[in-house]
Amino acid sequence: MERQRLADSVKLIAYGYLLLHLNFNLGTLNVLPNWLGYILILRALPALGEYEPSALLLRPLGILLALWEGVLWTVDLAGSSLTGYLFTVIATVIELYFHFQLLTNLADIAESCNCPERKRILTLRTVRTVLITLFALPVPWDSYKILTVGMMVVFIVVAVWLCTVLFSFRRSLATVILE
Amino acid sequence: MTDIWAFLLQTLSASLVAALLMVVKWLLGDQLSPRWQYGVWSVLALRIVLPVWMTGKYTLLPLPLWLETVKGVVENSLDSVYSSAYAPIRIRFPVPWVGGMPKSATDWIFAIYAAGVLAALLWYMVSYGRLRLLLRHGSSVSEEQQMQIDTVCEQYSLRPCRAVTVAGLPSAFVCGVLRPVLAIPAAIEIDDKVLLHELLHLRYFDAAQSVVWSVFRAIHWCNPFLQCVFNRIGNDMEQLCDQRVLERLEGEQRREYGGILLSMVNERYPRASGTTSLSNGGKNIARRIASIARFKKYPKGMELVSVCIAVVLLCASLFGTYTSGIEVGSGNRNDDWGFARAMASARLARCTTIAGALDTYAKGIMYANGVYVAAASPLSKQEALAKEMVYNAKRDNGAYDYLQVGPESLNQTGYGIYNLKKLPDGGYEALLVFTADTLLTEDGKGCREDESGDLYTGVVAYPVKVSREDAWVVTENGGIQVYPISSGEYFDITQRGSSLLPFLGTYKAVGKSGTVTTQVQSIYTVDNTIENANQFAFWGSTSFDSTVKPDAEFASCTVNTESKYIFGGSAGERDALKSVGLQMVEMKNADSSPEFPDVQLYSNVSGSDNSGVSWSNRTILPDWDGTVSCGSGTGWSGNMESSPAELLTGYAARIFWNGEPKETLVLKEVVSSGTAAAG
Repeated sequence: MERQRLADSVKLIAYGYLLLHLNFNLGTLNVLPNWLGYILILRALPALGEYEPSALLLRPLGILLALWEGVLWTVDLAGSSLTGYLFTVIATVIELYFHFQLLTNLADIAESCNCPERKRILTLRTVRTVLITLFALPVPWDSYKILTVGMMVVFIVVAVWLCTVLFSFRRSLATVILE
Repeated sequence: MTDIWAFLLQTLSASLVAALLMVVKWLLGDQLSPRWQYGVWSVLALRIVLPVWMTGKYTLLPLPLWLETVKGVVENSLDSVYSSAYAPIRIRFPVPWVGGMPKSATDWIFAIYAAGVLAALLWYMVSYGRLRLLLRHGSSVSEEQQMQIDTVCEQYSLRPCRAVTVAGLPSAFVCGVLRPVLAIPAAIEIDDKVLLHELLHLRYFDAAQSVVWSVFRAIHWCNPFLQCVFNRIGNDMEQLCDQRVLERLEGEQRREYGGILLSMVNERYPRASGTTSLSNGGKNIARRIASIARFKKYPKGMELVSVCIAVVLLCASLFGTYTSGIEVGSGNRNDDWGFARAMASARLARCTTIAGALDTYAKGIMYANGVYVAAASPLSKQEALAKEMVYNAKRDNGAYDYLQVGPESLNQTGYGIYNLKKLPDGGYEALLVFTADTLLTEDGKGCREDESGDLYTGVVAYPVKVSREDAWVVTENGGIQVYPISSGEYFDITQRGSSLLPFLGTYKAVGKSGTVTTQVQSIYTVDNTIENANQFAFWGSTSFDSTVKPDAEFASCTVNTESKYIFGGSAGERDALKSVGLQMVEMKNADSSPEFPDVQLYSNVSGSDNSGVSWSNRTILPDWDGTVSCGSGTGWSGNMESSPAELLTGYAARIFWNGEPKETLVLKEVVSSGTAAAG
């Protein structure tokens, strides 16, 4: 049963990342909001915490990120934009740590459950962290279009790959349960 | 820092960075290792050391704009020798420097602050000196103590230093940077772990770091928030040392180490620059013991995210990402703070490119906006411009930013930059060209009319010079030139140019068949087009972007040439002519032979291509005036910081009589700039 809960949690996290990386806008309304992605991840943390207690420490940060994304979503819906570079920096820092730790926890769980996805999760974690850091730097990326496009392509590939690996991880856990 | 405003900018910026780091540390709690918790303070150290505004962009908050605004208001009524209401705050070095006797209240405040820095540094030096004197009177350690020190050094691969015992010391400490001394309380047995702690301070040069933080404390002695932050930094340094100790200990030893700290809760501890001590106060020790209880070895993978977070914080704190641009504000003549903020933004948002300076200045002229003009003018003119705007606002009961440059009322539909030319001193000269729907009469009391009573429209040209000072600035370079145009005439000042306006250069050649003259005119543009989508149709409209662009680049350059051939043959040769043709090519190299592409010369047909070749053929009629004209327009786009319209080496002309080439002439520059060609 525990493993089943774990598998369900990993599925929630996979869908959470899907929402974080996909946007579908109807005018100013993003019907795949990021804040919903964080809520799904937050719901998954308790089950993760049974295997990796440090995952529970991510809860306050996850709540903050969900609130921040909620504010951004609301401002976008109103057709406005939020100025506040200071808050953006803080959000980026929290985001960096949150996702790094979450993916590290998932990798550790994969190792303890003898699932083959550990190495891929760690690699994706590293690439994702570096890319987010690069995008957060005060570089005029518009002036380096080819570089920016290249990085965006890599980011999209990583995002798709990550979701794929997480769903695969979930299947691996389900396979272990059946056995 | 040479005035109080520079200090305020530096210390408030450092406070902002410190607050950001405190918030991040609070949010992340103990998720990141003590190494990161202490190491991230290097971001603050760099912020303190590096002058604020060195990149010209705001970091985190627009503190430079806020302070510049306040300075503008405060210093306007003072007679400071250190600062000026109209000179922007500049920080060349992050330490105070008093340059003369103080005069105004702000000067005195700065002088007192600078004296405080000296006093603080002196106090640190005296404290350190007294401590070293005390240690000099200490006794050498006993053989057993020396053996204990050597054993600890060998066990943990640490570097030993000279050790002394001093009576009355509450705890052990290391003192000194270049010649460190380990001071041990006399007649008290010292645990190995205490020695390990102090020797680890020595290994990682914590005493030297302590000196650096002390200097920062002295520079920011009057900032209570930063003083608290520096205390926190000291505690983080001790926690890092605890982490290093615990990483080297095993099991029960760690618990014993915590016990040692607990025993020091009520003890005094030496506080002086260049010293480190195991004990740092009861409250801090309680926090350290809690950390010890949470001790863990942080996994290797955490280094990556630690570094990434530090990089993001570093870049955000030091390099900045934005400028708020030029803020015109309310315009309300009673809004003194609004005016001060607008002028402050003009002093800070300087023009970084030639195109940006010309765009900003041109829009200042076009909209009669003195703030825009100030942003593109030398800083030495700020005061005069501000006073003129204040005078205008009071006189006309109008907006505080009203400033008319020149007498004519200009159309607000755009402008052209004509004949941009690089000067030997590295600056540029150009003509800013505008259109006007009406032109004033000479007495300025009415509008000019033509013979039929229709109002003249016109073109108004402002000769300007662009030069590099603190940024690219524009100054007037001659009198305003007005060119009336009869109603019904029109030309696009951003595209085709006009022979009404001066030329960039003139080329001429005289041959047996006649004289050929070519005049060159260049037009640069900045992209100020706004696309206005029409929601009811597939097409939209465009409008002119009134926002100034201090960082603009040139979007395009058009070089127009007008060539004229004047017949110079005999009367008999003229009578024999049925047609006369002219073909012009550019010559980029004076030593090369001109290459004329084949061209079909049809009767009374003119043409040109993108490579600068133009041609024209005239059928000769009895009333022929003896001239044949042709012209071309060549466009450039891309990086045009160095003008591509620099005068070419020359032009070459091929003259055709009756369809056959008669003569080839190479034209050379004869006039570098001038008014329209005669004839």
